[in-house]
Amino acid sequence: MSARRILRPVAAALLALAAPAPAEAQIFDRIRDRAEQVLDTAEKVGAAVVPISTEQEIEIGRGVAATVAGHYTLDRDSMLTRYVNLVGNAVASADPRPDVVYRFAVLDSDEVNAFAAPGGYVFVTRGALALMEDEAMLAGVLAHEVAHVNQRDVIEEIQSRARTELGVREAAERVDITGEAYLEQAIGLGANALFMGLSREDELEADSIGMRMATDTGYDRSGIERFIESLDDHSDEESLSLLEKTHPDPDDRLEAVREAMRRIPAERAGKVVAAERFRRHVPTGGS
Amino acid sequence: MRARAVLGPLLALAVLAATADRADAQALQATLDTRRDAMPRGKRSWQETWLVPETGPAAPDASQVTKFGGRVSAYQDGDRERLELRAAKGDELDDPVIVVSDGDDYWLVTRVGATPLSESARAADPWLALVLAGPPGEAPAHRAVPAPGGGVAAVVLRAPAHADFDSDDAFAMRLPQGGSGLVRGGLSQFSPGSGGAVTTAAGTRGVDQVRTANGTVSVTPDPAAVSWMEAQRVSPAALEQFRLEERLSPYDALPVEAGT
Repeated sequence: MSARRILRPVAAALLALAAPAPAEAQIFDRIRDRAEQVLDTAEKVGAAVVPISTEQEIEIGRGVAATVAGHYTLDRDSMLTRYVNLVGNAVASADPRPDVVYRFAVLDSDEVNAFAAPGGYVFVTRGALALMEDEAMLAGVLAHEVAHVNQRDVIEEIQSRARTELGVREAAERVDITGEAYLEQAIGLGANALFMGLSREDELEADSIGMRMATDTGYDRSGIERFIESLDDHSDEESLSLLEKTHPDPDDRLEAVREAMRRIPAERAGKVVAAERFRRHVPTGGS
Repeated sequence: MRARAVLGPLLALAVLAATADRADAQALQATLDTRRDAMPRGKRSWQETWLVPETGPAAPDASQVTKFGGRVSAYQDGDRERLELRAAKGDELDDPVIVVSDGDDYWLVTRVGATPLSESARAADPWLALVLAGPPGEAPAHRAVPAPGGGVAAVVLRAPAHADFDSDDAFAMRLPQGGSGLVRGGLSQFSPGSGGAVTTAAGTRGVDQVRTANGTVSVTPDPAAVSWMEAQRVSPAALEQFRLEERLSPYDALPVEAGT
């Protein structure tokens, strides 16, 4: 039940009880009009934080993905993209969101990074691939991104930033979530969230969930751990500057990942590293 | 005389068909009764990957049974059960066959309602019969299914799945209208937000300016890149082959000597 449906009869009853004299009636009318406006705004702001549907999430995700692909350049190497899609879909199927189709692509950039736009659009840069030595590391990174999709981290960030950045009044005006203005705003907030960074908690959680997904798929659980270690080893390089600003300190990430690793029973720990298959598809890996 | 000559064999065929149908239905009912009685109570879910011989209904031994034949998802809670069967069809997966037990009877569930399974056209489905004859409770991660005429009909790899499904949805006797049916992980036609692979008809929009941790930058959105990305889909068959190559789950359950 909406706030309006609860409060309107209460307000009407109070106004009736007050039984104003004619001279006071105008004041009461103004108070009532103002109360109506407040209720309108409250209702719209309430709606602004209502969960975004899968269809809307995908539409926002496509816009964010177009922005990411425009900021970098999409690598249109079909064989490499197919390989990344196979690894990504393998790990995603360990705990899939059935309403989402996961799509993976490579960005032709030396920068070391990976991104997950809402709705299942996942990117990894050539710079990140170059730091990897085997498929288990790639699986660990892609699973981290899939975890962001499954947890709807960017969508929640959009909702949170809409409230704080737009403010109550503007959020209320933009509450028509099927409208062009709102969609563009949501895409902008989503792209900003990717490039400014998600919360520390979201990142550490994605590390843990992703590591479990990769392990459930059968990959060696050390994949994401070794990737984070390699970030630490290259921490003074310019290609890591954005990633370092948008992710928690590697030491903190390693601590969280190792803690999650300890909780996986030995008999459930995956063993696949697939270094040879990785090198066949990513000859620049491990550089 | 001529009419009798034609109708006689037709009548005989009809009687034979009806007898065969009754035999199928009776055999299936016996299988269902056994399964219902053997099903352990408790909430659980598992997924089976079915491998079949490259050709024919049986292979001489299990090591030659390596072709992806389909996938079964099972959801159990108390005395109720739901099975989703998706057979391989070329490189894709066929539409799901959904069977639900309410604890008393097994039903074939479709978008128009539920039919008693033993009275449905699926009663004679040989794969469904093999699935239902399989262990409803604990089972090894790897098992060979003998063919009725000898040899191995299938190799089944079973893996546990998350049991946090919604029982009201799982054991509903009608599929929701609309949506595109199952796509990936099972139970997806009951997922919030319309189910299945949602694709949007709207154009891909981007924004021309983003704030980054290194400052604000101008961007030219690339909608064509997103369309290209969406066209790079890998088929279910390709994904299975990819898993099998390196013995990723569930193929890690295969014995070492099994061929790839």
